[in-house]
Amino acid sequence: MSSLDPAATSGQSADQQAVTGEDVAEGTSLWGEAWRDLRRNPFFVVPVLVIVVLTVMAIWPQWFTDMVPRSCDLSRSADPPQAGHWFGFDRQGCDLYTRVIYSTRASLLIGLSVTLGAFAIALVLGSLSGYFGRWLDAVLGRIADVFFGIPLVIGAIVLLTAVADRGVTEVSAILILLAWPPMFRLMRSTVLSVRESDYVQAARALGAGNARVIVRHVVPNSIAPVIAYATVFMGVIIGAEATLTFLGAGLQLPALSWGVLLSSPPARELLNTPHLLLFPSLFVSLTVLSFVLAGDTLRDALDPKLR
Amino acid sequence: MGRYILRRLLQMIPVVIGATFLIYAMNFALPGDPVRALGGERPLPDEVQEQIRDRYNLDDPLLVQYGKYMGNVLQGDLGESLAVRRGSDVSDIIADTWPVTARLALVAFAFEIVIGIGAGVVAALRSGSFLDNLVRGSTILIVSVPIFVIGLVAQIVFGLRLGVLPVAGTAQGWVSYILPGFVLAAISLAYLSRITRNSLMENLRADYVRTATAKGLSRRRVVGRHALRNSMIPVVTFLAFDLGTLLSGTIVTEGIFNLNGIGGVAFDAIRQQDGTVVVGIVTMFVLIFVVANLVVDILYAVLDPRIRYD
Amino acid sequence: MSHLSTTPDPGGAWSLPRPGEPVLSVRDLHVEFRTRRSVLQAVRGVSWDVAPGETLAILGESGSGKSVSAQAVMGLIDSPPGFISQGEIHFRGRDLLRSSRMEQRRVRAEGVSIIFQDALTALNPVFTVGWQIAELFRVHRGLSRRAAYDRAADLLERVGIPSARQRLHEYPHQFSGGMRQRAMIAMALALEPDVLIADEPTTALDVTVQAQIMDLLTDLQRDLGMGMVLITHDLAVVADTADRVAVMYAGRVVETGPVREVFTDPAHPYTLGLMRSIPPLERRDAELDPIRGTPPNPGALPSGCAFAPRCVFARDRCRSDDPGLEPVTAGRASACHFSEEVRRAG
Ligand SMILES: Nc1ncnc2c1ncn2[C@@H]1O[C@H](COP(=O)(O)OP(=O)(O)OP(=O)(O)O)[C@@H](O)[C@H]1O
Ligand code: SF4
Ligand SMILES: [Mg+2]
Repeated sequence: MSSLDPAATSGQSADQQAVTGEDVAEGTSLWGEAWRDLRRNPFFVVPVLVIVVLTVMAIWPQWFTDMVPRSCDLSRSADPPQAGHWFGFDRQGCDLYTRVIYSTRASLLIGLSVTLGAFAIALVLGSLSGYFGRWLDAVLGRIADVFFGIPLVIGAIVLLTAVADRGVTEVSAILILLAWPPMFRLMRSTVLSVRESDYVQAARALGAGNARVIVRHVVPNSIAPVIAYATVFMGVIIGAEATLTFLGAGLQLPALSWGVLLSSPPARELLNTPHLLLFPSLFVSLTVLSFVLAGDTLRDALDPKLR
Repeated sequence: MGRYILRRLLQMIPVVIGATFLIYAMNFALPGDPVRALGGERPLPDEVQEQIRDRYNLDDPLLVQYGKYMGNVLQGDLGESLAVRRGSDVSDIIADTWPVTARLALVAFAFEIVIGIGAGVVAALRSGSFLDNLVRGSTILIVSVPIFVIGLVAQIVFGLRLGVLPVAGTAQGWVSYILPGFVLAAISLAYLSRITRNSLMENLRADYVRTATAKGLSRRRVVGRHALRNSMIPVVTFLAFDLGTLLSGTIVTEGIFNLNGIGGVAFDAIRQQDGTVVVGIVTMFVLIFVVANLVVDILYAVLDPRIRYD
Repeated sequence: MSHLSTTPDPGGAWSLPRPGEPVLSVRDLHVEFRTRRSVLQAVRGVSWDVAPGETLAILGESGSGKSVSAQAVMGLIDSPPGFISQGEIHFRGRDLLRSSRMEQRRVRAEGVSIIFQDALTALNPVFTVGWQIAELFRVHRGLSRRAAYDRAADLLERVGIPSARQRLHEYPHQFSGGMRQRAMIAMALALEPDVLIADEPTTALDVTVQAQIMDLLTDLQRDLGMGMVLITHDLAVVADTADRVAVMYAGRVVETGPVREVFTDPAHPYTLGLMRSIPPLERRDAELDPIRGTPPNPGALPSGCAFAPRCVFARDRCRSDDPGLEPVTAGRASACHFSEEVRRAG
């Protein structure tokens, strides 16, 4: 349940983050220089490594555990950690470690699909809105305002409680619907400043068509801050999914996600069996932290003003 | 100034209509039987279903339904609870419970302003120092941990292990609000301190701050009177946006800390699938959010004369 | 540079300068900016002084350290990254760099003021112009709100702002560029300082307004009898208004002396180049003779004379020996091994 305002993570207005350097279409100096900085920055490298491990875990969970998540023994319900079962047992008597490993997939999948969805919307609508301006910008801006008027988690609660079967698809779709406006606004404002830059003006003066100017010049030059933001965004969405599910408005059993593991016992009972709280929330927090850190360092590295 | 406020008011109307319509439409017009969905897993008796159809005008076209619903909302009629407090009016429930939520929000807001802005200012004035890095590190850490985890951990550590603060209910008056208030404020506080820090640092480098220093003013006055006032502009913008986080936060926090406020009711209503209560409360939250954003826009104009005279 | 009044001040009050004696003098000032990777020496041993009623012009290319030396006097160097690593700044005989914070603040409030190039950013956007001027009277003179605003209105009138009493309550962005600079001047002169530092006060303005502002400045200077340090790129303005000039290059003063003498008889190749870059009236359409090359990177200065890579007089000695500022004639000095040759060439 974190803030999704791009300005919030940076403290600068989005316009100021626009890439104002030369045309990246001509050379990849911006990314090249950023990479040279990032490669040596532990606050980028370590989170990226964590993300890689988590991704592998999401795709091939069986590499990380010999047990299967659904072979459970009710007599061991909520037993504390012990030899062979480092994380203990959950309320159904399943090995918590195995459950946590197998939960990675849904959590990451929701984060990824919501991020990609919002990114696609932001990319298309943001470019059009910023590039063409006028009535199109006004209309899209007002639509974004409407969605912006609904706080993410609150809106998701309402919409999701109305959905009977909530799987990864349903949860993702509703989060995309509610979460795209900040990214759209960021894309729009960077496009707006790139549009005025000399090389775009030059390309237009040379008679390049709008489509070509947008695809070749405007988008490549405005996308950097949006990518950095999308990285942070992915972390925020994973956290939001866990919160929603904890509240009982997200995924439902038999689906497995970190949020589901945290929501199955009533909150009060978690207090007596801290391992049920500790391990899944450790994974959520570590994942969110990795994305937030990676996105944060990426943004700094891509910001020409900080060079 | 008057024209500015009027313009913001007019801009607000489509947002309110759009947002509430969206919520309404999604809830009552989804494929399938909305009334059944409202009742959740327990099937409702036929006669109750009939009542609901009638009450929510579910046989009218969607726009008409929405119009009638909003008409009722504006008259303070948010419908009737189906599960949490079966039979009570949602507006009565809210009237009963809002003082708890207001107190919680007040405590959270106080934490947020004092610690968030305080830490941000300190970090900006000592930028690059250990303190600055500490603030930056802890804010990233805090925003990465979901609020319910912060809440549960706080309960375990402060309440159960150390036993220093009450962890549930409001029996002990204001003291009962300290822990939930802090948890509710935690994430916003982290963001706020970062925004304050960056904004103040940018302003400390501004020319007008040099002028103020050159005027022979004390450092305290230069920072407190000149730089801080300008730095508050993005901070205030954030606070408005952040109200959304706070409102959703009350649901989690009141749920975990067993506070009998609006958020606590919503928490139960979600788990018991009490649709009318959820929609009613959320519609109200959205209205509060939008109105707060309007108020902040006006405050923004007070802080920044350049906007006022547009 | 004969006047060096370092007499201690036992009474605590500022000693009055004798006529012709400098009220503000900068001695061997060094300012550097330290970044993680390198140290940038922005100012490397600058000295100058200014007497009451006198105007000292500081000339020099962009990046030569003019503004940084002025900011050092006013205590405006951002630290970190900036540090005053060496030098003295004497105001009425007292070294500011070695006096207490309170004392420094007092000098800044009442002794030396500064105006900047861009008055829009130099004024605080969220307070009215009147408030910002009145603040000085309220903080330093303890005047009531009302009395302070009265004084502010008088000042605005004095700097030529029409209907000053109403405009008191307007914000900087509601003023035109010229009016803003006037308001800035009013603020700088509010407490009747002994020295005014004007850092390119007219660069951001329209040409017609530029002349008005310069007239206003010289007018006020005469009335108040204060010293003025005028930082500018405009040689014509220097010729019109300044008594003495200090020419800066790469963080050093390379030539100094009375304006007329320095302009007609330059003793440093850089000054000579500057003079040659003004097209004489009779050949306005003829080719300009600008100084070839670009200023050195202050992070990596050449050994020897910093001007050598661009200097037409340069010899081997110039690349090994760094020339110091040496007297040329009475009241004049130049930092060149071959200043006599330069004078003959000019
Ligand atoms: N805050 C700072 N941090 C780092 N370097 C600085 C800073 N301020 C000035 N400098 C450097 O100090 C050098 C001198 O700058 P200064 O502003 O004094 O030049 P100037 O002579 O006033 O030029 P101009 O005519 O353009 O105003 C420049 O190389 C500049 O890059
Ligand atoms: S010392 Fe040599 S290089 Fe330097 S200005 Fe004189 S002649 Fe030129
Ligand atoms: Mg300058």
